[in-house]
Amino acid sequence: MVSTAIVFNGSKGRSAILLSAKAGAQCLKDTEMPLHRINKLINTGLYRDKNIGEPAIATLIHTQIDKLLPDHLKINNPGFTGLFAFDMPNGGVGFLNGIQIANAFLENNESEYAMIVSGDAPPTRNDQWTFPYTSAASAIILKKSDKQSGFKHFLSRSYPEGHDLYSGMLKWKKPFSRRSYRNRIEISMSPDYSTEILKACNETLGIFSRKQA
Amino acid sequence: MNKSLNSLKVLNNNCRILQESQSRNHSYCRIESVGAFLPRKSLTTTEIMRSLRIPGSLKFELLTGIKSRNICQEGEDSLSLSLAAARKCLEHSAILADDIEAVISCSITRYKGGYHQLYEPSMSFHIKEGIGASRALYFDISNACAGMFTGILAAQNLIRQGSIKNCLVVSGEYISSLIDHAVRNVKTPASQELASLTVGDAGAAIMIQATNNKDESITLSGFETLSRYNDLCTAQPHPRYPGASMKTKAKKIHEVSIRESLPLVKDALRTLGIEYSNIDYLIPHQTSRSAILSGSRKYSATFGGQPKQVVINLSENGNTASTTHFVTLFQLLQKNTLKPDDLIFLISYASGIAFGIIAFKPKHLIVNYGS
Repeated sequence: MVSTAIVFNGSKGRSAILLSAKAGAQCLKDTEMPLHRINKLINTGLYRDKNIGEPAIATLIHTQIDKLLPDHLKINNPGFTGLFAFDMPNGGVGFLNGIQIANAFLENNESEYAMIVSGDAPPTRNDQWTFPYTSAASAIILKKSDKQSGFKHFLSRSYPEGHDLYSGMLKWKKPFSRRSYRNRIEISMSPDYSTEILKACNETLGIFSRKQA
Repeated sequence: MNKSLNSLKVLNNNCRILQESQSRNHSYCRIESVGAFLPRKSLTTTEIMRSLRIPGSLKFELLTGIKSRNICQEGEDSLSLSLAAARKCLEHSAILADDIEAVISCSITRYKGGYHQLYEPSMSFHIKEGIGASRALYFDISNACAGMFTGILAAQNLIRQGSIKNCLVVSGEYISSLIDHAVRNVKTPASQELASLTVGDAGAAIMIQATNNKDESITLSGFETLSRYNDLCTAQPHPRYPGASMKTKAKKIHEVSIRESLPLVKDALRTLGIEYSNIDYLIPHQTSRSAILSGSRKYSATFGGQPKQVVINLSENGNTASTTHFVTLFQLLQKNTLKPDDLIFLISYASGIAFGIIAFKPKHLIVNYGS
C-alpha cells in the first residue's frame, strides 16, 4: 500500500464523484505522485451521481482528480497514459474485490500502480433525506511489493439465503405524495440483518483464521 | 503441487480461498464457450421512423444498416437476458455450473423486475445463483459498452495469477427504453439522441478458461481510457419516463475513437506479429454500417490492405451495447462461418472513452460447437 485517504461529507458532499476524487487526489498529493503513474483506476462506489449508466464513474472521477491536483501532478500529456478506468460495484465487498483485482494486475505486471476509490452519496437531491449512508469516500494506491507485508490472502464467502435481508434499488414507482411516477433510491434492511451479518462475519473470520493457522 | 492445489480446494459449499499459490499460474487463457440470447419481439426501423416527428425523410436504415432489433417484453429484463445467455453458454461448455469459479456481470443496465435498477446485492450474485454456480466468486463491472471486454481483462488476470481456472463473463442489456425517449425527442437529424434509435436488447456470455496451449489463447491489448472524452456519450435515467435516455455526440465520438485507436491497433498487430491484412474477421463495436465502413477505410489507409472480412452484424440486431461483439461471435459460430485457424480481432470503443482489443483463433471453440 503506497497511500490511503478518506473524506467525509465535504462541502459538496452530495457528489460521490467529487468525494472520491478528493480522496484520490489526497492520496497522490501525500506521496507527490503524478496522476499519469496510475495505470488502473477502479471505482467500487455503489450509488452513482444522477444514477448515471455510462460512462464509467471511474472516468469522471479521473478527470475530477486531475482538476484537484497541483500543476506538477496533473496530466499534461493529452495522449495515452496507460490508464484503464472502470467501476466494480459489489455491495460492501466491492472495495475488497477492487483490491483483489488490483492485486492480480500488479502481480502479473499489468500495472505498476493501481488506485481503488470508493465513495457514496445521495445520487440526486430527491434522495438526500432518505439516503441512509453518510456521504464519504476513500481511496488507496497499491503497488507490487516483494516484502511479506501488504494484501496477500483473500477469502470470498457468500450467504445466498440472506440475500433479501438487505437491498438497494433505483425504483420506478409512484410515491404516496405524488400523482406521477418517479425514480427513487430505495434501500431496505430487514430487522434480522444485523444479527445475520454478524453471524456470517464470525463464521467467515473463523474459517479465515483456521486457514491462516 | 498437490499440496498447494489442495489448499485451494473449496472449504465448503459456499467458500473459496483465493490467491494461495503461484503454482496454479497459467500463462494463457482461452474462450471456452460463448452464448447469446435475443428477445423474441422485433421492432423494425420502419416502425421507429414512422413514429418520429422529423421533417423530410431520414435514410436511417440505409445509413445504419439496421432493419430491425429485438426488444424485451413484459417479464424480461437485464437479469433474464443475462441468465438466458449464461445458460446458452453453459450448453456449449464442458464446464458444469457448479465448477464455475467466478462470475462477472458487466452490463450497463441492471434492471430486475421491470425498470428497477439493482444496486445491491449485485447483479452477478443473482446470475450465479440463477445458474447454480453456488461456489463462484462474483462481482459486477460497469464500463459502458466495454463492460464485457473489461470483465475478460479481469478474468484473464485472475487466471494468470493462479487465483481461478475459469470465469463466466456475462451481460444482459435491456436498453430499448432509449428508443422510446429518442422517438419523443428527436426533431432533427443532428439530435444527440439519434444514436439511441440504433439500439436493441440482448444478452451475451463467454466462458474464459486457463490453458497452457498458446495457440488457442486470447491476446489482450490496447486497454486504455481517455477520460478527457468522457462527455461524448452519457446515459442516465429519464426524469419523467421509465428507463434511460442517452445523449451522444455521434460524429465526434466516432472521429475520436478511430483516430485514437490507430496506435492501439498498431501495437496489437506488432504484439501478434502480423499485418493488418492477416486478420480474417475484424469485429468492431456494432454501431452503424456507415461508421464501421468509414473506420475500416481509415484503418486500411493507415495499415495497408484489409481484413478478409469486416463484420457488420447490425441488420437484425442493432447496437446491443456491451454484448455486441459476443452476440456477433455467437452468431458466426452458429452459422459455421469460422475456421479453426481464422484470426478473429475484436475492437471495443466505448463511452469513457474506453478502448480494448481481443485477438484469438477459435480452435477449441469450434470443436465445442461441433461445427
